[in-house]
Amino acid sequence: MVGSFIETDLASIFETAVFAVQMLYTPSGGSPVLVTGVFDNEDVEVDHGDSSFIQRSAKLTCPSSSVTGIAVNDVFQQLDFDDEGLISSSTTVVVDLGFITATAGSSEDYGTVSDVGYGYTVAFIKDDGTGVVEIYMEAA
Amino acid sequence: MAHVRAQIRDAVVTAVTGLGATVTKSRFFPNDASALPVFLVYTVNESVDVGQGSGAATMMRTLSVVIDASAQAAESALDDALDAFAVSIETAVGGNTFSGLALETRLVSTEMNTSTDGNKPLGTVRLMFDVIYRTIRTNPSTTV
Repeated sequence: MVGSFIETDLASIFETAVFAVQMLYTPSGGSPVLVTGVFDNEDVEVDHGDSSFIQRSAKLTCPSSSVTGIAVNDVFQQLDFDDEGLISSSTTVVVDLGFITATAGSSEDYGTVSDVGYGYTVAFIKDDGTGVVEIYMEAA
Repeated sequence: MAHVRAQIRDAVVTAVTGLGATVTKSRFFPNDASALPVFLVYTVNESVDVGQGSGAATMMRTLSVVIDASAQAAESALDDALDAFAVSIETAVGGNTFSGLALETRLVSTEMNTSTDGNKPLGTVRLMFDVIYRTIRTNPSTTV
């Protein structure tokens, strides 16, 4: 359990107006929810002795409280902001993908989740113990 | 004419082409993981035994040829995928004389290397072969 001041700080750190994005998180056997965090999908060099490879490495850093109970093989999906748009106001954030509408701060209707965007499964999780978790993902 | 070592390297590339992976002789620059699977073929060292007596004009050479077979797969399937490539490569290269270039080719070591640094498990099975061939001391481009 982290202090409330840290929760306040985390809200600033994971502000979508700066670096954070929203991803659709579906726990195994659960319902999809929107999770806000910093998504890194950078190239890394993987060294295999005499040979090496350039490979994408996907990681979401987000508040632990938004993914309580997260487990390996849970599913994350990117939301396609470029095509569908992200509409935000002071009280609500609406992601409208046509077949999915999620409204924070009001009732949510995800409809049928069939194809949101590029998908990942959780490969492993690193909790820093101060309210932030790093979720390393495997491309689907 | 190219050194027999180069001819053998080319022959190995030909032998492992068509086995379900892109084949290249380069290993110097990083490979794009999105282009996997890939086989990297290269030679690392060669020992030479100079003939004695009546055979003094010949050199018996043992060339180490490495084939790195790299692929991406789900964690539970990666080892099996690499071993499937090992089967194909050992079948194609082991015992091959490459149209008379070599006297003998034999597998001498296998090494597995896996990593999860990226967003998909990536593995490499490194197969090292000894390729034995013989040349005349003054002509490294022709086998005898």
